[in-house]
Order: sequence, then structure tokens, then C-alpha cells
Amino acid sequence: MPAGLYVAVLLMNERRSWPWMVLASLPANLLFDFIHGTKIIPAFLFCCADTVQALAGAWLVRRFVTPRPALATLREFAGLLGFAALLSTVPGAVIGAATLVHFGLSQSFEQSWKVWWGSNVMAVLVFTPFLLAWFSKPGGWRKRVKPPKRFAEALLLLVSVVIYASLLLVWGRGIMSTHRAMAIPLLLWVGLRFGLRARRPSPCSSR
Amino acid sequence: MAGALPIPMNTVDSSLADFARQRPFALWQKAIGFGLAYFVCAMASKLLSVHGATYLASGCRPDCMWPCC
Repeated sequence: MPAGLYVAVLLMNERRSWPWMVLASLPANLLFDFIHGTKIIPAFLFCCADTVQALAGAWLVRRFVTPRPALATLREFAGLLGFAALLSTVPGAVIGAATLVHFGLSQSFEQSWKVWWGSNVMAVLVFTPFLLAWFSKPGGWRKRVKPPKRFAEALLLLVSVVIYASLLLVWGRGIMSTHRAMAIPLLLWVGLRFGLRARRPSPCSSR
Repeated sequence: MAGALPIPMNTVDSSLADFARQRPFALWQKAIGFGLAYFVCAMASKLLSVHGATYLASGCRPDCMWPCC
């Protein structure tokens, strides 16, 4: 989640404010690492890994896709997927995995790189579009769910998604479950009835 | 100062997201908010991660500390 938040915040703010965001993430990152017993140098390198990938992703999206992505077009979504999720997470994962191996926190660079890269790709794919869709356009969610029937439907959908995610992750086998395709009708229902902004939280809740 | 600004009706009826977007937060306020949100997200990720399951972290050593356990 932090990786997705980082990219989204950079994309939602002007480039001149990026140094402040980087400075703000530093104590948060270090505090989290210290709480979990990480030493100062690896913690600092983990910060560097997260910062490099977020800055690279946000810069690439702004440079080659759009200055302020709102995920309104396929090009924006593909740009976010390619640049911020798949590409910019590569150097971050290299720095992170190399740090893990160098400081004896992991024995396999390849395995660490896969875990680091995969988890950050998922974070950017799931959390960044949610934040961008939610905070990028005028017009609140209340307009879509204002009538009582619509509100009841939205509530029913939310409960269904949460129950489904709980069954899948707690009692099922997660993404390895044979029942994972059951999410498709739910997600289609959300998307068709409530649009992009309501559609984005669904993967977050089922994450 | 907010009372002196003309507030359109649709703004009054907007969501929290609209409020957050339209309110002119200072840069230092945004940075502090981001720092706090970043830490909360990191802690939430740690709490919500699936422990002991075959997930992205398959093959981790049992004593692995970071980032998968």
C-alpha cells in the first residue's frame, strides 16, 4: 500500500513539491523500519528503494502519458500500468533485494527481487488508481448513491465484496483458490452500476 | 478566511474527497499528512498481510524478517 500511495501523491502534486513529499516519507519509512527491528543503513536503503521507484514512476507517467492522470482513458491506465507499476518498480526492487541480501536479511536475491517487485506492482495497481480516481475529478460519490435504493444497493455490494474477500483469503487459498473467478460478477456489478470511482475500492477491499 | 469566500451549493453537497481537493492546504500540511498516511499504510499492510500462506512470499525462510513475514 505505501508504494501505491507514494506514486499517487506524487502524481497529484506539482513537481516542485516532490522534494517535500520525499522528505515527509523519510521519517515515516524509517520509523516503520525501526519498529520492526531494521538497522539504520538497510532502513535508509529501503527508503531509497521506495523513493526511486515512486519518483521514477511518477516522472515517467507525467513525461510520457499525462501531467495529471485521472484514469479516464485507456492510454492513461496503460501508461500507469506500464510506467508506474511494471517498469519503475524494477530499480526499486533491485535496490531492495540487494540490500536484503547484502545485510543477511535474505539469502536469495532472485526470490527477494520477485517478492519486492511483485508486492510493489500489486500496490501500485490496486491503490494508486483508487486514489487517482477518487481525488482527481469533481463530483462526489454521493451523487451516485444518493437515492435510498442506490445506497442500499451500494451497501449490499460492499458487504458482498468484503464477505467474498474474507472467504477467499481467510478460509480459501487466496489467489490460488479455484473460486477466485467468482469476483468477476461482483466487480462487473460495481463497475456497471456505480462507475469508475466505486469500481476502484473493490480490488482494494478484496486485496 | 474561509467564511469570506463564496461557497457554491454543489461544494456544500460534495464528498470528503471534493473537500480535500478544493481546500488549499499548505505544502507543509500536505507533506505532514502524506508522512502520516504513509506510516499508517505501511502498518496496515503489515497487519493485513497474509501470514504463513502461499502468496507472493512463497519460499521465504521461516526466520525471514522483511518484507514478507
